[in-house]
Amino acid sequence: MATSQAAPRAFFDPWAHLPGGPALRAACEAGDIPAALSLTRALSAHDDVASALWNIAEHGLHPDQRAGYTLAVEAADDGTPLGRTLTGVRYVTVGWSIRTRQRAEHVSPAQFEQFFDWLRRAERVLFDVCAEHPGFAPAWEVRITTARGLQLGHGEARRRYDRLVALEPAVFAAQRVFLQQILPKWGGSWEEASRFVEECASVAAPGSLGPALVADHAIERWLDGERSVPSATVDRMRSAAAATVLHPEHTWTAATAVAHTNFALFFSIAKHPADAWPHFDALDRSPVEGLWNYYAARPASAYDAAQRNAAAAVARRRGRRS
Amino acid sequence: MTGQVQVRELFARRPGTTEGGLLFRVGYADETLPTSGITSLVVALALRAAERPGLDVGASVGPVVTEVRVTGTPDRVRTTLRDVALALSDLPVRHRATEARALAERAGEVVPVPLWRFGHQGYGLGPGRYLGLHRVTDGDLRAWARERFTAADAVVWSRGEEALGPEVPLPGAPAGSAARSAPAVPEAAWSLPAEAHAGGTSVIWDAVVPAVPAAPVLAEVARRALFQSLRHDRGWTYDVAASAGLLDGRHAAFRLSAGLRQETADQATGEFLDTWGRLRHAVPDEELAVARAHLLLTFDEPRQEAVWVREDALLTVLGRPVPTPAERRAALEAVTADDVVGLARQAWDTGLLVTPVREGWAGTSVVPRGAGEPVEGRSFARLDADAAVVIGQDGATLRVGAARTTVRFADAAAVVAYPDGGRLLVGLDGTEIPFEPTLHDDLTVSDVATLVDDRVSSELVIPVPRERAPERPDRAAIEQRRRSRAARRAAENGRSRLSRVEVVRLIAALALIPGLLVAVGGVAVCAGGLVLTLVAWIDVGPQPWGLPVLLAAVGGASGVLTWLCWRGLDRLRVGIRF
Repeated sequence: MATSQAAPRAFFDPWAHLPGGPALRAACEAGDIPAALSLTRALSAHDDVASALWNIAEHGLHPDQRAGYTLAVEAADDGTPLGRTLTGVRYVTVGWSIRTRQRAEHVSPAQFEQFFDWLRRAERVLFDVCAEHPGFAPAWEVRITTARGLQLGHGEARRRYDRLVALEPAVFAAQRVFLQQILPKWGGSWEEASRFVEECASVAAPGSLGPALVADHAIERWLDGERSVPSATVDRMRSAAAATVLHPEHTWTAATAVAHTNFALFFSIAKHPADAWPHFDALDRSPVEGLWNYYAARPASAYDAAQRNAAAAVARRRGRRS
Repeated sequence: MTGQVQVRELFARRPGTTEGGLLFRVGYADETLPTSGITSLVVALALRAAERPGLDVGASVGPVVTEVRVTGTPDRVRTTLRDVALALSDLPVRHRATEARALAERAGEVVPVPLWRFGHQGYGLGPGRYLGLHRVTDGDLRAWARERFTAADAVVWSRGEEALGPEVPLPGAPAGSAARSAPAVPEAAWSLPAEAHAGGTSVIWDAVVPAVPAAPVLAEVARRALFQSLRHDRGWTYDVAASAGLLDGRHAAFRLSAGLRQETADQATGEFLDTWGRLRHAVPDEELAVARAHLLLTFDEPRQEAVWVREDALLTVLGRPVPTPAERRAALEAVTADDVVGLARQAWDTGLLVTPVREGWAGTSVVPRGAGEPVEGRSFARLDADAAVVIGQDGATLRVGAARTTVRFADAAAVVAYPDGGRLLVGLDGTEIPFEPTLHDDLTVSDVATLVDDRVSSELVIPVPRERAPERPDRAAIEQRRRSRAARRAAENGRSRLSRVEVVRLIAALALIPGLLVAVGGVAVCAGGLVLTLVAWIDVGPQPWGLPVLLAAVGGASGVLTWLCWRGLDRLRVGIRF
C-alpha cells in the first residue's frame, strides 16, 4: 500500500481560497509541476492565475523537499507563455528569498548581488515572453515586480503596469505590487501612493477590488509609524469594503481573500474590531497572510488574537442590543 | 608609372555638377591606441594642402575606409583630387599643430560604444579618438601617408557630364599589389547581449550583423516601429535613428538609438527595448512592405549608375563584389519577413545596450572589464578614496572599495605618461588604472618609473601634457577615507560594526546580567530563610523577630532589583543582535 504523508498545513494556507486550490496543492506536493500548470491554465480570473503562479513558485513543495525545485520548474517549462512565466516567477522567488524582506540597509552586498542575478535571469525569461506574446497578461504582472527588484525606476514599473492594465483593467495583485513600488520604502512617496490608490478606486467597476487598495495603503502608513488612525480613514475603509468585497456584484477570486484579510488587519490595528469581524468571518477557517507578516513577528498568533477580539466585540455589541 | 599599380577609377555620367572622391582602404581600425588619430591627421593635412576659397570639399575617416569628396566643375574636382594625392605622397606637416587642434575641437561628444565592444584596438578605436597624436612624430605621419594611401589602396570615383580622367599621383605600389584586406571583426569574449556604460543621453542598441540586403530593411523596420511607439504614441523622445553602417564589408554595424529626456528616461528605455525585442519574433508584412518601399525610392531616381557609383567604389576598395543597380533592387525586393526576423535575432544576440539610466534591462549584465585574476605585488593605498593600487611583475590591480580591476602589462593598450610623473595604464579591454604619486603617501615618481614604465614596451607610452597633477587631499578628507576603509574591512570580515550607542548598550547589558543573577539569588535565599524561620517557629517555639524582618526587607529589595534588571535587559535587547 502506498503511504503518503500529508505535509502539515500552515496556519496561513495560500491555496485555501484559490479555485481548485486543493488539487493544485496536491499536484505541487507530488512534484507534478506540469499538472499544476494545466490546472492553472484552467483558471479564468487573472488574479487567480497570478496567485496560482506565485503559489506554485513559492509554496510548491514541502520545505524539506525544496532542493531541486527550481530544476523541476525549469523541466516543466513547456515553452508556452504560462510555463515560461512560471520559470520567471520561480527565479524571482528564489532571488527574493536570498534578499529577504528586510529593508535595503539590512541586506548585505553579497545578498544583493545574488538577488540581482536571479532577477536578471527572471527578467530575461519574462522579457522574451512579453516580446513574443505581448498580449499575455501574467508575464506583465510579474515584470512589475522585476522592475522593482532591479530598480529600473518608477516610470518603468508604471509603464509595465499600464501595459497590463491595457490587457486586464483590474488586476488587484498588480495594483498591490505597483503600490509597493511607489511607497517611500522603495523610493516613492506617500503622496504618490495616495494618488495611485485614488486612481485605482476611481476607475474601478462596481464590485471590483480597486477601492480595496486603500487598506494596503493605510496599513503601510501604520507600519511606517503613523499609529493614530483618523476616523475619516476608518469611514473610508468601511465604504471601501462595502464597495468591494462586501458588494453584491463582487466576484470572489484569490485576491478577494487578500483584500478581506487586509481589511481585517486594518480594522484590528485601528481598534475597530467589530468592523474587522465580517472580514475574518468571510475567510472562515482559512486565514490569509496578506500584510499580517509585516504587522507581527508571529503573524499567526496575532491573527488569532485579533480574530478572537473581533468576535468578542461583535458578541458584546449584540449583547448590548438585545 | 610603369611597373606600378594604377589607381582604379569608376565614372558614371549624369547631368549637372561634377562630384568625385578618393576612397582609401585605411581607417581608424588600422591604428593602435598609441597611433590613434594618425589617419585623420594625415587626411586633414593633405586636405589643407588642396583647399581653396569656396571649394566644396570634405573628408571622413571610417573604421576601414577613408574618403575625400569634392563637388564643383570638372576642372575643380580634377585639380583638387590631384592636389590631395600630391600632398599624400609628400605630406606637408608644417601646420600639424593647427590641424591636430582643429580635429580635437571638432571631435564633439561621441558615445564610445565600439570601445566597449572591441576595446582599445581595431574597430574599438574610433571615431574621434586622437590620443595617439601626442605621440606620433612628423616622420610617422609622412610614413603613414606613404604606406597606407598608395595607389593600390585607393579607388577614385566621379559622376558628372564628362569623365575626369583624373591624374592622381598617389604614392606608388609595386605591380600586383592589391588593397589591404580589412581587419577581421572579432567576436566578443563575453556573453551578449550586455550593457555598456558608455554614457550619453540616448538609449542605444549596437550590434554586428552580416552585411546582407536585409540589414537596411531591418534598420528601417525598427526605426519605424520605435518612432511609432516612442515618438508618436508616447512622446518620450524627439529623435529615433537606425542604421546599418559599414564595418569590414562582410559585417555591418547595426545601430538603433533614441534620445532620452531625464524625466521619462526609465520608461523610454523600457519601451525601446520591448519594441525592438518584439521584432525578433514577428515583423508584420505591411510594416515590411512600407519599409521596403521607402528604401526602394532611391531606385526611382534616373541614371542609376550615377546614383550608386560611390557605393560601388566603396565595395571595390574593400574587395567585395559590386552588384548592378538592378541586382541591388532585386536583392532588396527579395528580402522576406523571415529574413528580417532572423537578422533581428542576430542583432539581438550580438547586442550592446547603452542607456544612461539604471542597469539590468532585459536581464542583461554589464560588460566585464578588468576582470582577470588580481596581481600580487606592492600595494599602495590611495589617500583620496577607499582604494589602492597593487603593482606586480606582470600587471597591476586597482581596488576601489571591494571591487578589483586588473590590467596585465601584456594586455596594455597604452600607458599615458604625464609630465608630473603620473601615469594611466590603459588595458586593451578599456580598463584604466591610475598611478598618481600625489594621491599616495608611499608611491613616488621613481617607483612609478621602475614598477610601471620599465615593464611595458616604450612604444606604448604616450606622453600627454597636463597643467598639474591631482591635488593631494586635505587632512580631513584623508581621515574620512581612513574611516570608510576601516568600516569596509570590518564588513568584509563578516562583523557588523557597532555604533557607540550600541557599545554602551552592550556594556550595560553585560553589567545587568550579573545584577539580575544576584538579585534572583537574594530573593531565593531570603525566601528560604523565612521558610526555615517559620519551620523553627512551629517546631521549636517563638523566635526573635529581628532575623525574619531583615530577611523580608532584603528579599523585598532583591525582588525590586530583579524586576528592574529584567526590565532594563528587556529594554536593552532592542537594537542589539546577539
